[in-house]
Amino acid sequence: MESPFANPLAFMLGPVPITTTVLTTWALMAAMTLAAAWAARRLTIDRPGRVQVVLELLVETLDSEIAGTVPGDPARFRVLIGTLLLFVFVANWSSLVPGVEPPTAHLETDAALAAVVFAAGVGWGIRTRGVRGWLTSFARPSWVMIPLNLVEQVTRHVSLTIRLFGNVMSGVFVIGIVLSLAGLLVPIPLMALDLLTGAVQAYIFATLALVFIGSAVTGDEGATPPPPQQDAP
Amino acid sequence: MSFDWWTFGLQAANVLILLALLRHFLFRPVAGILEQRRQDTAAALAAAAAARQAARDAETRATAEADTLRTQRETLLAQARDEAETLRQDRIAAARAEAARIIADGRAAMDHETRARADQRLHQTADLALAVARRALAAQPAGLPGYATRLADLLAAMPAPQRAALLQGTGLHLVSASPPDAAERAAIHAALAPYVDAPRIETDPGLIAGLDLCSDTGIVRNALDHDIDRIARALHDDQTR
Amino acid sequence: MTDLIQIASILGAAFAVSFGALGPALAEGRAVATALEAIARQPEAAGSISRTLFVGLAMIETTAIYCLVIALLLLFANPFVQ
Repeated sequence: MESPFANPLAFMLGPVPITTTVLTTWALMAAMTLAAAWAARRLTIDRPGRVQVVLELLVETLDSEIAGTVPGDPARFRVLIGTLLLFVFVANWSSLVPGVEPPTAHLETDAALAAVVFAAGVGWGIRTRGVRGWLTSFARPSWVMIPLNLVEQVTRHVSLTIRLFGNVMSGVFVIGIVLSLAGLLVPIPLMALDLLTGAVQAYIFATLALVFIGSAVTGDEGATPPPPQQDAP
Repeated sequence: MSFDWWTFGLQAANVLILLALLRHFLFRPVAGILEQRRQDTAAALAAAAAARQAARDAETRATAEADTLRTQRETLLAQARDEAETLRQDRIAAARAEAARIIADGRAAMDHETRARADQRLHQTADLALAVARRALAAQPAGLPGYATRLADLLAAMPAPQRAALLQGTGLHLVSASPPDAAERAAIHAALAPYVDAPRIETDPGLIAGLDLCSDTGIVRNALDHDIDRIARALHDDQTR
Repeated sequence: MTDLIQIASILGAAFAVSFGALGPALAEGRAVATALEAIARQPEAAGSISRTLFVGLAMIETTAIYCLVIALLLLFANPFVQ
């Protein structure tokens, strides 16, 4: 059986090895950009179509979620959180296409996403509260907590990575095993469960990223995820 | 455990690129549309509020104008009513005064006319009386004998049947204004001798002067009062005719 | 020696998945029971409660997934087996 940790090489771009994961990600990026451009071209003020209504609902839901978690203008985090949500969702559901393995089923993609979240948290924290304020936020409630806070910074992002990776990869892996054992049509319920898991994991990833960034911005290290809003996906 | 750092780096770059792409192609247009719609709605709301405010202002102004107009109208009406009342009072007073004056004039004129008519009637009466008296007195004979002579003439002038009927009547007597003395009685008897023989002579002061011959069947008037009556009747007939 | 390590890895993977599934299973059962109770008490909040339940279940399930990842690491990416 093929290892779920393996990264099959697609081709070499000079000295850079391009894996199928990166290739799939590029394809997804292209598809998402094209779809977004196509949808944004048809935006109207007075006669919104079905796609536009969905997009507006998405943006407004994002804004309300962000505003419910982080005080201040929600438009600051809208692009980052929205992109994370959309990318993880599309990547998870890309397993619907035959022969495509979701990029999020590989550890590198999830680690890259978590790294982006981490960098955003650091960046927003320094930007909002200054270097000094951001550094002193690790000494809360007292300086004894500094090692613990540092470890927590690492572990929360590692767990963010492993959570997404484990969920998606286990779905793909289980489907592969069942497919090899039982054959056609049997893994369909598992695939449906996989889709549900993928959607929920996308939402969880975006929410957690928002909570982490929000805690870096507000300095509230003990921030817990807020209860989902009414119009959560 | 294989962790491909190249893939990790590429995926991180991919996420950042996708961030920029979606930001440019998806989030900015949609957020722009939302913001534009919000602005449109706010503008529409502001316009509606302004229109409502304008309508309220206009209503207030119209109400104020209507109030002013009503006040003016009421003032004008009251003024006109007062003027009309004053005018009416003046007119009534003038009319009363005029009526009183006319009545007084009429009364004065009536008094004057009444007085004038009374005067005129008095004058006429006086004239009439004077004329009657003058004419009657002018025709009077002198004394009782004269009257006896005139009575005899009257008897002579009467148609015979009438004279006979008169003379045949019982209670034939003479009526004199004053009791005659002897001479006068003789003269009377003498004058009437052809017709009647020494008639009784009664006295009646109402005759004024004269001598009447009376019987049951007739009377011959030959006295001043009769003359005056006759003349007065004739004069009255003349005047009325 | 290598066989022994492989046998130990397989046993460790099996134990990790089985015991790793135990705790989340109990936790999920408890969460679902509490959520059902809450829905029975407040049926009008069923939408919000079930949404929260799904997210919570996914979070709880993550611990089992961690165990699964460890098991798969033992099986497929065991650093002690070359």
